[in-house]
This record gives sequence, structure tokens and C-alpha cells, in this order.
Amino acid sequence: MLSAADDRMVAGRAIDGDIAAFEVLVRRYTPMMCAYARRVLGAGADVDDVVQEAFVTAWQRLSELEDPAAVKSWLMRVVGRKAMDRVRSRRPVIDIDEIDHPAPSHRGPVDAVETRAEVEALSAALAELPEPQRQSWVLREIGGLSYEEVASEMGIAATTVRGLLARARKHIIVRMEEWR
Amino acid sequence: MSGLAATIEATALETPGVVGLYRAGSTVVKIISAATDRLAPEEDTVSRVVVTETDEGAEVELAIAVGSSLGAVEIAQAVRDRVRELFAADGRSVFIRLTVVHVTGDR
Amino acid sequence: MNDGRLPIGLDPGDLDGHTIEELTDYLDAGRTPTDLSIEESPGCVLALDALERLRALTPELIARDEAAEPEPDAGWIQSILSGIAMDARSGRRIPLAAPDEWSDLAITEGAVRGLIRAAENVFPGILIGRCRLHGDVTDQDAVIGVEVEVSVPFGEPIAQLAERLREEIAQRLSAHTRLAVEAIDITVHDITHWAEGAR
Repeated sequence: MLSAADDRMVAGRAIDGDIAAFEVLVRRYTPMMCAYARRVLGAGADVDDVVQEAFVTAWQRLSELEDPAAVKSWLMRVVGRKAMDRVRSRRPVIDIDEIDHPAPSHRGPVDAVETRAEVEALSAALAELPEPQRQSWVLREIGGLSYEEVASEMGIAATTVRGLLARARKHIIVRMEEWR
Repeated sequence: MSGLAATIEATALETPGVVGLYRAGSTVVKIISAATDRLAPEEDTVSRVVVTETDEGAEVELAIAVGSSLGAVEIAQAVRDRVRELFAADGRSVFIRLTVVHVTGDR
Repeated sequence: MNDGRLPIGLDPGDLDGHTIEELTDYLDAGRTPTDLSIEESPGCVLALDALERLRALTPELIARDEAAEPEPDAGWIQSILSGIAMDARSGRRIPLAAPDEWSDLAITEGAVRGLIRAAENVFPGILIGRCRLHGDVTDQDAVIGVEVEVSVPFGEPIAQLAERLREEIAQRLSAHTRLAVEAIDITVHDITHWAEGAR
């Protein structure tokens, strides 16, 4: 029954210390958070670690959540931050050269679900982007962060973020036009 | 874990109504089933009872989970009395700091 | 494959001096106020269409990515739960008896909230949400107020249910604490519409 309750109820109880309610949140939002982390991190096996750490942090910091109904977007922020922490620990400084050289092609997330060809094209185009472009796009368009927040997560200026986003969008649009 | 702490643990667990012992910073190792509301205590060899010995006597700190058929007040008092008896047998006094951290659902 | 259309041009030269950044901002602003230098530029309009299509596709991408992820299994839940501290939410220590020179017996606020939540098991279909204990619970002489949010099945007479729930909570509190509870406020937060027999 608790598993069918809305976010406000479930998160409210988790804030009060109800572990069963927290477990409902874990079940409800693990796929969403894994999907987002995977887009931020790119290829690699860190996704599980990052998302689990994000949930542990979320438990500790749940009392900071002012509006229990907003737990979904709050969790996205927590995992986005964890994913970028992981990115920074791999490679502390954004490599400027990489901004202009495309990343070696690697496969995007495994496609076990049939979707429209256009969506697949977007998925593939994203996966091709150099890491800084991809991350700026993912943080902004999937994570919903403001330019300033993206800048803060990536450790670069907001103007640089705008430039990265413009390049990312151009690349995606051009590739998708080619595939039409 | 010291022999004394182990004895205190056993004494507490034997008290009617006590269903588990916890230590500070306990993590949840077993999944909580909301339906049965069972909370499985962490299994390890680190003592869940903290005993501090001084010249005047001892101080014992423990955290317990209780069932709901008896009152938490009565159960806590019973644990306290049993632990005091343990020390009184040696002619020693003891200060007991006991915290009930969980009351299970109806059984 | 491209069916012979010209490749889309996205540099300022193709956009009559505008940049993709400007067009994105313009799109974000809902294409208002109308900027004729953009709307009358074929290159810009093409680019805006493409940007809009991209924007429309994004929620589909998010859904697709999420659907491709596996549901968490017991091992996953376990890994997370083994990392969280149970006493993170203990709250205040509530005396069970007056502390004396030999003992200090208490129950945590977290345990009391759990007690109150468990009252929902007595009433099928209801869900107890947040609980608050108002007043200085660490002071044995203090008078305490309890505030409880509850979600109630559609069709249940609310006032009656609230009264029964209030009694049940009062009983539990008196069985397991020495709190002097002056009031138990029950707020029905929402009405649930779960079908009969729903889990």
C-alpha cells in the first residue's frame, strides 16, 4: 500500500525515519537515477556505485528536503552531483582540446526497448559528443540545472557552458538531419 | 567483545519483551518488511553494549528494540533491574543508560 | 539518409548573423516578443524548427533511457540499506521514567513515530504520513501535542475514522511512554482511491 502512495506521503515518512518508505523511494527512482547517471558518466561501470552512494547521501540529507512532494527532482540533483564528483575524480580539469575533438565512438546505453527511430538517433548523437559537451547537455536538459548550476558542477564559467551547449545542440541537430 | 558486555547483552536479550539490541551507528542489514515490521539487528562480534568502568563503579549504555505486547516502560525497567542484579552480585553499583529505539508492530 | 535536402546550416553565416545560442534563448522565451530578424530568416526558422524538435524529443529520450534500466533487486536494496545509519532519525530522547542516580531510561522520538505509524495496521486502507511531537518531550512535566497526517480511503466517514485513530494512537502512547499528551491532531491529507484488494 505504501508503494502505491504518492511521493509526498512516502518521502514524508522517510524523512520521519521510516525505512520501509525509503525503500519505496529506492525502488521507485532507481531506474530514473541510473539512466541519468549513465548519460552523465558515459561508458563505464561507475553507475551502480554512484547511484547507491546517492541514495545513502539522500537518506542522510532527507531532512533538508523542504517539500516532500519534490523528492523526485531533489534525488536527481543528488545523483547528478555524485556523478559529477565521480567525473571530477577521474579527471580534475576539463580538457579544452577535447571540447573540439569528437570522442572515440562508443555505444550508448543498451537498447532493450523499441522506441522511435528519432529517439534512437538522439541517443546515438548524444553518445558521440565529446564528454564536456555531452555532460553540459545532460545536466541542463535531463537534470534541469540552470546555466550557473551546470557551470558550478563542471567547474567552468557559465559562458563556457553556453558555448558547450551550443556546440552540443549543433552537433546533435546536424547528425539527426543526416539520419532523417 | 568483553565477557561482561556479552553477559549484559545476553541478560538484556533474555528479558521478556526485548527483541533486539543495537549499537550507535547501526546500519540496516536486513530488509525491513513493512508487513511484518521485523527489524533484524546487525550481526557482528562488536558489542552492542558499551561498558565504561571506573573506580566508583560501572556505566552501561545500551539500545534495545522491544515488542509491543508489554509496555516499553516496564520492559526498560526490567532490563535495568536485571543488569543491576548482575553487578550487585559482585557488590558493585552501576549506572544504566538505556534507550528504546524501536517498538515492533502488533504480534 | 538525407534525401537530397541541403544539409542544415547552423553557423552565423547561415543564420543571418544570429547564433544558435541566441535562437535557443529565443525559443526558451517562447519566441516572444517576436523578433522579425529571426522569424523572417529562412535559415533561422529551419534551425528553430530543429531545436524545437530536439526539445520535444528529450522527454522521450528520458523515458526510453529509464525503461531500459532494470528494476532494482533485493541485492541492490541491500547494498543501499547496509550503508544507511538507523539512528539518523532517532530524534530526541524521551524519558520513560524519572532519571535517578542509577539509571536513565528513554525512548527515542523515532521509535514513538514508528509506534504511531504502526496504528495504521488497525485500519485497513489508511496510511499515516508525517508525525510531529510538539513540546519539550525531554521534560517529564511537559504537556505534549501530537500532530499526525493521514491518508484515508475514499468513502470512509472521516470524522469517525479520525476519532478511532486518535484513540488508537493515545492507547499506544500511554502503553509505551510516559508522555502527558494533551492533544492528538489528525489532519486528513488526502483521500486515496485504491481499488479494493489493492496491495
